[in-house]
Amino acid sequence: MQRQTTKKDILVIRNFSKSYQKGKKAVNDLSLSVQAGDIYGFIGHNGAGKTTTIRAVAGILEFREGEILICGHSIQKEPILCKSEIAYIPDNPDLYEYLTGIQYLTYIGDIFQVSAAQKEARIRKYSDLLELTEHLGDLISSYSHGMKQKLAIISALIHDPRLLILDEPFVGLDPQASYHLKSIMKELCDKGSAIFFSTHVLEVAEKLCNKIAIIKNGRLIASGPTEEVRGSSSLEEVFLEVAKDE
Amino acid sequence: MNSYKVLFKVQLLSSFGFNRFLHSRDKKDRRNCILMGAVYGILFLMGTLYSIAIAYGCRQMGMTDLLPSLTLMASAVLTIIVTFMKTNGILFGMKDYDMVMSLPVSVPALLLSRLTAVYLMNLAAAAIAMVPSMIVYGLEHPGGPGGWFTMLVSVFLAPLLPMVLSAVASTLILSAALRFKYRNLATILLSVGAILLVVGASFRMQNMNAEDLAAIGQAAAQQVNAVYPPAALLSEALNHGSMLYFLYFVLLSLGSTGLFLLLLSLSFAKINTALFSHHTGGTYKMQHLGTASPLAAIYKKEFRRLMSSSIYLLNTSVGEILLIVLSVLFLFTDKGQLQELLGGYGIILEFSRSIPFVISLFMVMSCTTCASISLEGKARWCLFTAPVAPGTIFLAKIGVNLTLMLPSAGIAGIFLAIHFRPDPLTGLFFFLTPFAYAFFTAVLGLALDLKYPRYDWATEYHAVKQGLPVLATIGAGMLMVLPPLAVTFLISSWALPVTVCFTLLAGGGAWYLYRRISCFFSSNLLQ
Repeated sequence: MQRQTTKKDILVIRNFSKSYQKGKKAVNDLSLSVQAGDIYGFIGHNGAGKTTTIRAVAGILEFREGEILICGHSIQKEPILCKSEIAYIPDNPDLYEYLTGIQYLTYIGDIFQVSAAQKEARIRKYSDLLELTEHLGDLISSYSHGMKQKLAIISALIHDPRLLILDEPFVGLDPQASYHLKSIMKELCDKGSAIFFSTHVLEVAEKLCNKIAIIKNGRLIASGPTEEVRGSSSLEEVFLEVAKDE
Repeated sequence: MNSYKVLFKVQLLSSFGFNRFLHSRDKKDRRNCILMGAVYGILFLMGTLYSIAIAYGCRQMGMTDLLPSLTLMASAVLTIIVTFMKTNGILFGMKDYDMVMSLPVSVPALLLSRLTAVYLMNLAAAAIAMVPSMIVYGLEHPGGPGGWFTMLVSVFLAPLLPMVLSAVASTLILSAALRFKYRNLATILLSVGAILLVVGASFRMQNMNAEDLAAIGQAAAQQVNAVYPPAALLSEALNHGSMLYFLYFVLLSLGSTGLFLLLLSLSFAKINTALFSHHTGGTYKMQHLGTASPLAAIYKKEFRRLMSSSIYLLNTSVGEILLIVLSVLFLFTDKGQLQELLGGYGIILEFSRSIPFVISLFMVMSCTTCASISLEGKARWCLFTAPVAPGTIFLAKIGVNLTLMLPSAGIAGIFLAIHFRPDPLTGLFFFLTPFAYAFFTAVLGLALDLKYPRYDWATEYHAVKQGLPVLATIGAGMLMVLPPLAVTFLISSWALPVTVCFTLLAGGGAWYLYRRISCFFSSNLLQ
């Protein structure tokens, strides 16, 4: 098996498979790599294996087949090191509802051992941008879905991650927050980080991502630079075509 | 009626893991359900055997007349405790409130479906407390088919009135707490107050001047009848074959339940709406933020978790509360009086030698760690993606448990040492043994919750009270405490070696278990 990664590889997935009950494979022999500066869109229909892959990359799903490397380190062998380099936001961010927004952000900052000054500056910057600052003193249980999503985004940026993993990040966000999230994603990538995210919103993926992978029934059926995957058609047409063909 | 059936079916399926057992494809999930059923079965069997022993003992002492009053009271106390702990979470603040209330079902049908689930649990407790005694009573006082019918119906009706009383108390406390900004804290304080009131009342009842056991039994039955009128009604109905008194008992039980349902259905939506309405200031201004180590950060988060939930805090700290109350009572009780009372029954007077295990008994009843992993629930991704060693998470969770256990054990140890004035070596074990058991319980609870977590709870109650780790931790703790407690109480010459052995066993067990879970989850919580 090839074990080399290039210097710019932030995420490398090699021959990853995951089986659930009765041997049915949710993901089958999936390989891809995400380099620094990439905004990598991961698209597929419901139940295709997107969330399974994303959860394995985030280190919250145990697996036996294949290998996932983050900044050259195995998520299975060196999980703590890998987790300190990533930030993950699930599709439905269930947070600690008994904490206030600021208590949650402070908690995440302390877990990632971010200095007080950096923590304060980043919370200030992103909560102002996403217009959440004045609600940070309230209990998370009082937040709307969108506010929880914004809080999860801020918490993911506190430690300036090398790899940001997002599962359906635009669901529940208002247009203004979606715009800011896209700006933040671009800003992170300009600084040399990478983003790997799943989405159903093909227009967003087409405009935002420089690379795209399409997954169907657990198998990767297309991947590469967005222009190459799309060709002369729209991403929606390509997606519908490959979904029909397989 | 149809909507009631459907709602009740769903309620029943969500309780006790029935649906998971029937439909889960995960073998581990099904195995957990079977284990859970086995634990419930053992508890039921132990309770029944205990009840049979008491009924048989009463028969031997010629006190069968007292059985209806005493067992009805015992069933009522059990029902009050079970219902009080369950109401907040089953009737109020349930996660599926929005979904259920949007359905075309009447509020009384919804309430009835929820209360029926609580009733069935209470009925099991009533059956344990009453059936063996009623059989003994029936054999001693043949009342024909009518007598047996009365007894059978009384078992089914016994939980109703105490269930209503307890639910009313719980509802009033919740309604009062809603007026405060910190409603959880208010709920906890009011609930603790209610528990202390019940404990205080029961201590007053036990403060009787009687010269022999039979007289104590008579006096107890009289007090029970005075304090709890349904007991007097049932006692009259059975002892004198009075159908009128039995009819009063039936009307009181069914009438109070109907009235409660009617009144609660009027305020149900109002209370729940208030519960789900949160105080939002929207006035926060960024301030200087400090830093903490990952261990301190997780500890603070865990402590806030405990303090945020009245269900979690009350169910896991009731042992500590009772321990403090008990030790304060001992502090103000004359030692001579106690010796005289116990001596009158030929009980070994070296009671002080059992104190280390009496305190430890309260330690094993108070475990926060055995629900701490399950309570992560859907937010567990936060912990699973955190770049910290599992050992740090374990220490934080154990630390919270010890924060409750050690001070209460220490305070109780000091107060009981002042009362009993033990020799220095025995006095030392007033502290060492409970501390060892505290560590053992905290680590065992954590280990079991790591092995059998339940993340899919609909209400915190399911994780805190119905989880397999919770029952198994308390059961294992009891098995570790009760034998040495009995031995040190009955055979004073064995007390010190037994105390030393079990203290070492508990401490060593805690260390061994901690090493095992730390090695097993060396770098990742996923195993």
